Amino acid sequence: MESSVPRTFRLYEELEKGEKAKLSDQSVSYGLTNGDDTTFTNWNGTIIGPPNTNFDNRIYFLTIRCGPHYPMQPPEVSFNSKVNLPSVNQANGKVEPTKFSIFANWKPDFDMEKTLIGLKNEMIANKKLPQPADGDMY
Amino acid sequence: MASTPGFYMETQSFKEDPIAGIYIEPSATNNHHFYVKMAGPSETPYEGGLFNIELFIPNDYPMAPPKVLFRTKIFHPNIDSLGRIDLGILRDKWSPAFLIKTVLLAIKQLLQEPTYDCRLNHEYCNLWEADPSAAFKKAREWTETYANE
Repeated sequence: MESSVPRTFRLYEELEKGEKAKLSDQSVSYGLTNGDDTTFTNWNGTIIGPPNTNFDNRIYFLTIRCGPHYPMQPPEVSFNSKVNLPSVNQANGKVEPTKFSIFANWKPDFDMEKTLIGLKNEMIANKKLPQPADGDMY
Repeated sequence: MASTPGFYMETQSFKEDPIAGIYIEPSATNNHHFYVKMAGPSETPYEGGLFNIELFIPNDYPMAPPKVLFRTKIFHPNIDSLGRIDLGILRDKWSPAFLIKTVLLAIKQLLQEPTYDCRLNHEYCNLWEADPSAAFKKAREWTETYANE
């Protein structure tokens, strides 16, 4: 039986993956907010709005918090850039776990990359939703 | 159920034949996860300190190296502020013939003999180039402040 990876080493692995630009999808990225955060808790992410959608030509900034029970529990994610998406709380930018399928059906082998790609896919699925002005922040 | 993993026997042999200044304890919840305490080697600015290191044996060990992180803050040219260690045998120079003991001895050796390519810690090298004794002093201060158990 495979041994589960402890939180610290799992986040270390994700850090290396993100830093070396080894992500399978070049339109998402993430990194530690603070370069000496040995708890590996607070991260920043970006998503480039997919082409042929109302999100096109925009870069979206997110904050990601991997709490003490990550990856058994999903991270807490909020958009800093205003965005109109079904899973995003319009008052504060928070990605609501009950409305975002990746969080609602979370498995410990899901990671930050998969989370960001999932949000990008939600943009594609909602390509004609009217969006706030580019550059608006919560 | 597979026979006892090889690394488990390595850590047992550690107990019977420990390396001076290196203590290794398995995690209570994960038998691939180890907590190491390493005494700072003598005649280095790390002397007198006790450094916490965590080690994880990935599922593809020994084809892949263990993952190692310093958890005690240390001022050293080959260790960054997240505790990542710039050591060839942890990356491209790993061989399945190496043991956990090999890795820990190599880390101890790195504390005694840093290399000044400083890929991971530019701050150290900048200070060392400007004033080597100031770098040594800062390393010793950090040992006294953070590695004091």
